[in-house]
Amino acid sequence: MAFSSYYLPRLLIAALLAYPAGLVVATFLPHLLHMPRPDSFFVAQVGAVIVVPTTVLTIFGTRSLWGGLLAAVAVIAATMLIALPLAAFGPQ
Amino acid sequence: MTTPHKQSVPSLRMRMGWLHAWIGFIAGLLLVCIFVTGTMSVFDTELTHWMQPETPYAQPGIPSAEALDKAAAAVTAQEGKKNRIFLSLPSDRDPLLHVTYMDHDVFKSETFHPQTGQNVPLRETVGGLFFFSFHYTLYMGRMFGVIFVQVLAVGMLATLGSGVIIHLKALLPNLVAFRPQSSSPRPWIDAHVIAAVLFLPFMFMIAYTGVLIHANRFFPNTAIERPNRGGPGRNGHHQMPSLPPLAPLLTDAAETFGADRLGFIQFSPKTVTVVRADNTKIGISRDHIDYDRVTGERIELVSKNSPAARTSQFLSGLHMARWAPVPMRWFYFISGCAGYVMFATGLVMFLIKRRRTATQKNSLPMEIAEGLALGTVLGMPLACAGVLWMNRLLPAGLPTRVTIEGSTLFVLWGALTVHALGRAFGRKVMKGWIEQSSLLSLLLCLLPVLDLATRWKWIAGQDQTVYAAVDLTAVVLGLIALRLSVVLKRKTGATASLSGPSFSKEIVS
Amino acid sequence: MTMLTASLLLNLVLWSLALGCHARLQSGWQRRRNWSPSRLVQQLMQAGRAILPVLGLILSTLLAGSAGVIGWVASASVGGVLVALTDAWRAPPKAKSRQPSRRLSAQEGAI
Repeated sequence: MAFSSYYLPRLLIAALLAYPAGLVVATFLPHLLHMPRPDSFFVAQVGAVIVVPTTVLTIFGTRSLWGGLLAAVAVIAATMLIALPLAAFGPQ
Repeated sequence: MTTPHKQSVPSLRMRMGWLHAWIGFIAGLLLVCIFVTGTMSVFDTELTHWMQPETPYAQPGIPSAEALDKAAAAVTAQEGKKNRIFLSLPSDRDPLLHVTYMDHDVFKSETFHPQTGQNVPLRETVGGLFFFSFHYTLYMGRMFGVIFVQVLAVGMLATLGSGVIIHLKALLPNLVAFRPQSSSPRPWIDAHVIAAVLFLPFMFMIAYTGVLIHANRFFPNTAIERPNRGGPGRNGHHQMPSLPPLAPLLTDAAETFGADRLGFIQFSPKTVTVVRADNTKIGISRDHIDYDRVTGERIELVSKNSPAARTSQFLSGLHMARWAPVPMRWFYFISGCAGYVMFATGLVMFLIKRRRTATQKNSLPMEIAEGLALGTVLGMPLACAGVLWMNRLLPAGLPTRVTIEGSTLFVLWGALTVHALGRAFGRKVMKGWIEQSSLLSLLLCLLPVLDLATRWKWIAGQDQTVYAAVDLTAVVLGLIALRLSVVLKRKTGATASLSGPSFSKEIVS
Repeated sequence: MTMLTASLLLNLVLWSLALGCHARLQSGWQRRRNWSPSRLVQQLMQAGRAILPVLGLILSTLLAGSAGVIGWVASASVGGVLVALTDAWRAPPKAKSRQPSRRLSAQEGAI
């Protein structure tokens, strides 16, 4: 039942990074969207909730830890870029 | 040629397998309970109906003016001392008129017949809402509990994602392959894959929307202005103006929303608000009309129609299934059962694998894990069945029956977990599984007998649909539990000669 | 019976047929049942596997709109369970116990 020393650092880093990654999206995305505040915040939350588990999967998915961290940053950037077109569907 | 360094790096499948197993096991222990209570919550109104066997037959529709006046009098009596009061209007699922209020964090209600206006004396019960509250708070508070459940749901999303990667190759060929006759662990894997893969859209949807419904707690937004909820009258320090006649308000609201689309009425010091029912469309829009509390004149129709708001309403509605007619509700119920099967079989496979590879077979963590798995997989459904039994066995007029019913779940769940841990420490966890599954089948199969015995007085003139549906479902689930106990007994008999009859070892053989 | 209920029942039948075809097209299923379909039957099953769900989606959208689409997805899951349970019920008795396959070991090992 022992935790593998290979996986434990990844799990800790994933646990530490996943929520702040979502928080970054939830905090900054509304500023990029030209929509009423509650609407833009909802769009940001839609992306942020996806980012949290995706970050964990990305960190575990890459062979090296550094690669995982870089990929996680890429995931956050990609989520923000993908969520931007959603701004188009909201009235001012 | 691969380098030694590269050889030591586990493959993607192994890495995802580790994540899937550990997050799945740790989060799964509680997600099983969340799925059990969530599945029951699909029929929360019907369960409340079952738990109040005195409920008379009534036709749904707009209540009479007389009934509304009596309900308004009850609202006035409760105002000034209660925080939240609302008047639930009759619907197809619940044709009675309820004045519901919060009393020390417990919902209580006075019930009126929608046509005659007579007070309907129903027993106090935790009702189906109890399972609903447990489902999204685990009774750990509306802030911490909700956030905790959201963390578990995020864990479920990560587990589902890693599970898809693990089973990617076998995903399509094994889509509907269930081979119960094969040697273990094939049947467990088949059941796990069928429940997870066939219901994958449901699993992703339910976990994702579950987090999103209360996303403001997970990702708080301090920039949004909150409505002033501490206004005069809410805490009972100010005199509330008397209510206008409610019948004309409902007639007016029915012209906008439709006669069968009125949900409930809320009251504030300045307004009376009629809210559209949640069952009219998929999204929970909560469109409402505000009326002046003194004159009864319509002030405005409030409706959030921006695309983002509609998306939010749609996602909430998809999770809560309040829009769903009865057949669709059954599909939600079956999907919830599939979620339970997915987690239960996943927990069992985790234990089989670890028991097989454990170097020290009597390790304490392994026994704790086996005990906790049994205590949740069978302990929680047993505790829920116990609440239904307690509801009917307690005297209807007992003042503390709500507290006792609620406590039953936790006391029984705790006792069954202690029993499971005891069996695991005694290296007889398989016996524990047989005992608990037998007890579960007994409680569920005898539920119709209990129902008839304790409802006999009121049975004439009642609509039997809800009672029959609850009883039949209980019997079907009880027979499944019975089948499980028979299969486990057979397996135990077949491997009786093996030493150390742990659950995992016996299932493997 | 509402349109949504009708579309649910219809989809349940269509998905069950489609997933039944899918199961019968698997080499493992054919080996276990000792069944080798003709080329025409295989082509028919392949077509059924693809066309029936699409037909169901079109019909449920026309009958019940967005609720019909949700019902279409839900019917796939329930239809799949029905097919799996029916096949398991009608499965021939196990001839002899074998060692677990390599795929099984890999699948289990990952968990």
